[in-house]
Amino acid sequence: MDINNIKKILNKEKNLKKEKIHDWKISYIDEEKSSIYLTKNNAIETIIDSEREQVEITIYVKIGNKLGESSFTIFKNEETDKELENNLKKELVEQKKLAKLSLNKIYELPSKKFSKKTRTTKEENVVKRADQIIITAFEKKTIRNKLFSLIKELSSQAKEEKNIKLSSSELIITLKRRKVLNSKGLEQKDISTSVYVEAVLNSINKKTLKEQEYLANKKVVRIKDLKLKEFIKKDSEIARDILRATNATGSITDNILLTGDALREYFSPNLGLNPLVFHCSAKIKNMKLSIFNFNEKVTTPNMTIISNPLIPFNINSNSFDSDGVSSKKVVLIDKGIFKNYFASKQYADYQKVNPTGELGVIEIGKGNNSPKELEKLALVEIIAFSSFSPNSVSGDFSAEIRLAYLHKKNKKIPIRAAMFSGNIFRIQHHLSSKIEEQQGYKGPDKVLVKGAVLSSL
Amino acid sequence: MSNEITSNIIEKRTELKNLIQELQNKNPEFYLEILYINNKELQLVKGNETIESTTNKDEGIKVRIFDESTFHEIALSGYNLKKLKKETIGLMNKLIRIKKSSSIYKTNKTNEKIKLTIDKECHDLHFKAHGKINPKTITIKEKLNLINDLHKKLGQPKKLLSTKVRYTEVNEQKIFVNKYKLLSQDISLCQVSIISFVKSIFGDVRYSYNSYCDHGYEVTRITDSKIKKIISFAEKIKKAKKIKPGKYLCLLTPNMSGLLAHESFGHGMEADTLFKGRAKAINFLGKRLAKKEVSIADGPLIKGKHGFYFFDDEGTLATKTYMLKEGIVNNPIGDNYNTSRLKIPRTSNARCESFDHKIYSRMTNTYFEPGKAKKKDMLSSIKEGLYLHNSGGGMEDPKGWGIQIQGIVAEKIKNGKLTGELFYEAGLTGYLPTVLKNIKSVSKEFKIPGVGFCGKGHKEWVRVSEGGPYLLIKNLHLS
Repeated sequence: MDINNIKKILNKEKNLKKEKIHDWKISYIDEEKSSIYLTKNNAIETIIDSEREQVEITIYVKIGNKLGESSFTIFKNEETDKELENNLKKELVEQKKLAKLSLNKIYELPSKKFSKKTRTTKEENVVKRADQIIITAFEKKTIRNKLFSLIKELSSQAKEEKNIKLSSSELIITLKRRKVLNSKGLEQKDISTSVYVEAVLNSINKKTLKEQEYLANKKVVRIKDLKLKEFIKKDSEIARDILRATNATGSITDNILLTGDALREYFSPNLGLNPLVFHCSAKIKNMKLSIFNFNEKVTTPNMTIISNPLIPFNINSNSFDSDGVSSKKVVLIDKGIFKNYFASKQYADYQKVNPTGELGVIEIGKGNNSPKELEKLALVEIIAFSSFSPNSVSGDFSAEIRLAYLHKKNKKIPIRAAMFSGNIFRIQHHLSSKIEEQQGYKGPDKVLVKGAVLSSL
Repeated sequence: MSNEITSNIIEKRTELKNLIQELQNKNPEFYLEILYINNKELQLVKGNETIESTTNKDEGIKVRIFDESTFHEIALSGYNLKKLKKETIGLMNKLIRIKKSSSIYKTNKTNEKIKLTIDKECHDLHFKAHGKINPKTITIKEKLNLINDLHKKLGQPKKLLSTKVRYTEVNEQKIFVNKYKLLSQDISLCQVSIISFVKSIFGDVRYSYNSYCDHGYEVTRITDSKIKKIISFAEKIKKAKKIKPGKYLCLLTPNMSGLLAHESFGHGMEADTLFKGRAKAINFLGKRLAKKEVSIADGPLIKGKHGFYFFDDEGTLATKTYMLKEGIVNNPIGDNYNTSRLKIPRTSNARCESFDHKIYSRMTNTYFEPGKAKKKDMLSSIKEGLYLHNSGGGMEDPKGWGIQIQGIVAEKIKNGKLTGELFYEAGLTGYLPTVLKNIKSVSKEFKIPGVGFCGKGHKEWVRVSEGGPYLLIKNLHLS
């Protein structure tokens, strides 16, 4: 799609005498995807090769001291450039009407300076988020070969695991090119890749014929980060333990240890799934929903939470947000005290704070406790949830565990069928001094929580 | 059932029909189908301080080639037939070459041929669903005034911390074509959703959610008394306590019974899940799970509901399927590949999130069928129990038949009456067969109020609805 042509049309609109637009923004995405889906007995159900090329245009109109905006999407069809121009002009007439009626408090679009290097000279402007192997495979149209070889490796790794059967699996490889430009001269672009793998591992007791399954998934930037052997080995272990596990009895309050996948879900980088981060949003503050106030205590003094979009090759790292503002590392909560919002340009202007770009990897500062100390203190250790979906607004959560281990007399006894519940704002977190990095999370490898309950179903 | 078609769709229908004929004639050994999707969505959102308007569009075509073992798909955004034709021919030639060779990229290693269920009855049909008031006849100004007005009415009593009112208008056009069928549909759906936020007496922020859906703009007629009820309910949530974990006699609203049908039973009856050996239901087909009064059905052809359509993404005309019929586990719902492999009847439940996503077996509008009891009698029969109003959502467990429904707002019932004492964020867990067996009565009052999106795990989102009668269930575990 010819972005320059669209730019020209929008600039013409800006220079009109009547019915002109004040500003514009163009967000361009070009995404190529190749995916394979295996079903029972490793039969290949579906293979998909797809391309998505789309442009989202936002126009802004100024009326007095208010700014109206409206966004719409266009796709490239077989029309000529002239036809595209005519269609776009037609759409702009409607969108201008919409924008004039959707007036908000005025704010300024980010200028060029928000796309400049805002980090040290050692750091690059574009965060490393792309695998050259994947880029080349898409360019040479050999991506299917990569898919086949990876899925073959996944199947053979699963075959090597004792008492494990691969029920089904999915593998999706994506290459995404993004561009954001606006009428203030800001221009940003980046390229990113991702590999998503999902494997449903069935553990079987050959004597009793009982079965349990575990849905393992992973999303990484590079093929080499997939580490299929380790991935299958670790999650097969979980699947086998789920089968061995007995149903939990009674309840345990306090001294609940979170590790592995459970920890990653608990400190999710997704706004809607992490109450501590949700209330750090300038947009949420603007909606009068945030309970956080600057320099006030919001959690225990040992908790430091940072949004870090700059970690190379982490799936949640990013270069810029949807407005094109370069993403920065932001200390959201420092030693339990609320310090900074993460904010888009609009809400940064409204709240009179600095725009921060997109939310990144959730980085939790390391604690004072050695992993061994926390293990000793723990009464139970949660490895995996069925699904951890807290109420981001209130902080309440209630999640069924997939697998946990009761710590009893130096033994770890697998249990399942229990509910982990509490309120995140009332939890005390005791953090390990050892740091690990997972997708979307970098922080203590173990966290002991007090103030929550694990009770049998 | 032909309806007036826009010229834009007529042209595309002809072009796609010609394309499929050309491609099919070139390679008769393959089964081919084409799906074109063109969705437009207008969204207007009014919050306390801001108003947002977006017009989203999703347009693309998917070609599917079945080579007796695997579906090979090419999906392109927009409407680019020349490119699509070139890529499809290229892929078909490649598949022929691979088939003749001993390539490692052969998808059918065992040479087992899979026979798909193909409906060979020829159809050339166009369908339309637009409601009483066509939203295209309402100006943008009126629509914005509507949400401003609603927002003002909700805020006027100053009882709520914040409100978010969203108006969504979707126009969905689809064309499906294969050797035998040429189907197209043009569906409108309008939705109003209201999120009301309050600050509880305990200091945290809570919310309640209400949503309304229909084909036409008539859905926006939200009366003042409805608004009063929304505010009053949100106010009650301020004082809602946490529930004491235990087993309770519960009266479920249609909202809740729908969620039970969808999360705890429906997902476990999806043919792809069953075929992969991931669903317990496979061992219960034809067996009794509940008493005769209990039936659970799914069907896209319920007017005005969020899961509405005339044909699925594989061209199967919409039908109703009883997943549980008079207490007996009946028909799974599914797409062509998986129902064929299970050797069960094909249903109209093949759906993809978008043109560049895979087609899976998915629910549409899922519900318990109504019974004979009266709600007021069911309520007055409860000496002590809970009224389950609504919930934030749930998670499926088809393998274990475990129930996981979270974010429930419940109200205490005492001596046959609602007490006004609410509980917030309760979780419902249990084992599905036990819960179904514990259904004491099923009301004749029936609604499908649910308006939402369903994921397969945490991805592949499709629009759905759920509902049913009031259900009286004993020994439900809440925590």
